[in-house]
Amino acid sequence: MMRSRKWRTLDWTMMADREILELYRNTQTREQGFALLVRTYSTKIYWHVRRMVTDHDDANDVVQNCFLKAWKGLPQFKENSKLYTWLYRIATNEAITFIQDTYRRNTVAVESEEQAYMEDLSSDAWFDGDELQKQLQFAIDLLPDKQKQVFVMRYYDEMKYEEISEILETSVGALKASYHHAAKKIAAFMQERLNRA
Amino acid sequence: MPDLRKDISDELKQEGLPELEKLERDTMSVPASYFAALETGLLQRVAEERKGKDKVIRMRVIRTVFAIAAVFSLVFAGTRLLRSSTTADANVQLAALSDAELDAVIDERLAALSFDDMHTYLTDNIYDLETAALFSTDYIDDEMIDEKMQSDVKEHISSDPEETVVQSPVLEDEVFDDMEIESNDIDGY
Repeated sequence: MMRSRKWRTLDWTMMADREILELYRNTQTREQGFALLVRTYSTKIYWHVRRMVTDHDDANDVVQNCFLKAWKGLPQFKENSKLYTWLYRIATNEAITFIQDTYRRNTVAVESEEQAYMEDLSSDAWFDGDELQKQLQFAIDLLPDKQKQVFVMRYYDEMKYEEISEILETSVGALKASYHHAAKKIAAFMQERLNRA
Repeated sequence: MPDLRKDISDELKQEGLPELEKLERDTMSVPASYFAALETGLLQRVAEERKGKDKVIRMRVIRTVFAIAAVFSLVFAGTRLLRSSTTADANVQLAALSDAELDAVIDERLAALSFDDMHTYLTDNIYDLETAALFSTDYIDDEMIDEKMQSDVKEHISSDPEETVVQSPVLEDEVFDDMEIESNDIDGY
């Protein structure tokens, strides 16, 4: 009987996790294990972080911190959850910490903030979205942390509520409510910009 | 996966954001071979951190060894200093006393000792006392010991063993006869 793609992906991830942990636990092959961890999950983690912080260099810093924390934290990793869930959690927390630190440093009015943000995006070599996409990015950036996390995970990472629930350790009901509030705010923001235009 | 996409799309429509559903999401890019470079960079940082940790551990060990050595040196130096100063103080005090005062001090100390104290001291140090008596006495010098040994040798040891037997007041003929009788009894038995 042919197994579904979902099951094959799950098997592969579990095998990778087992191999990573086995390599990591042996002091001789610890760095190989870490290399495999980075190779397996860095792309997913990077894009998750990038959606949260927008800028490539910022995302790079956050991802590096995330993996270094994983390197230090792997001995305490309990196999109750999957490695990628654990990594997502670290990455999300690191991204939120970064955003909060940046927000504390740049306390400016939304109007001027929007202008600066749009200018930054326009000059960003690694962003090639149109005006609507820039506005969406800014609207996401204005969301409170929790709503931003949920919206990014659902809209960009296309994750199930159950998966998000496991990573953020929040109930599915609460996540749906956060997504709803986030979407409403984004819709209102976009409508206002549309009316202004 | 298509079901999940449909769910997300439906949600966006419900929330009044149908345009987001059509929007291209891959608006961001990364430098060429970024992920390979990320892996290499992370491995380098981990290796550096490991080296740093090794150095820290090694430094910690060296520091601990030095600390222990310093403590031992201090304790050793302190003990020696204290001991030498105590002995020196005692010597200075004794040197300042006249013979009469010394006798008085010795008498006083001896009088203060009880019989039990002396008994305990003697039983505890009996072997040391015997050795001390042999080697530290002021009454017998080496010449006296030599003389004594020579006289003892002359008196008891003769060059002719038979003469010694004859001269011995203990081993007389009768005694020898008795010994022969006993010896024959043993053989006969």
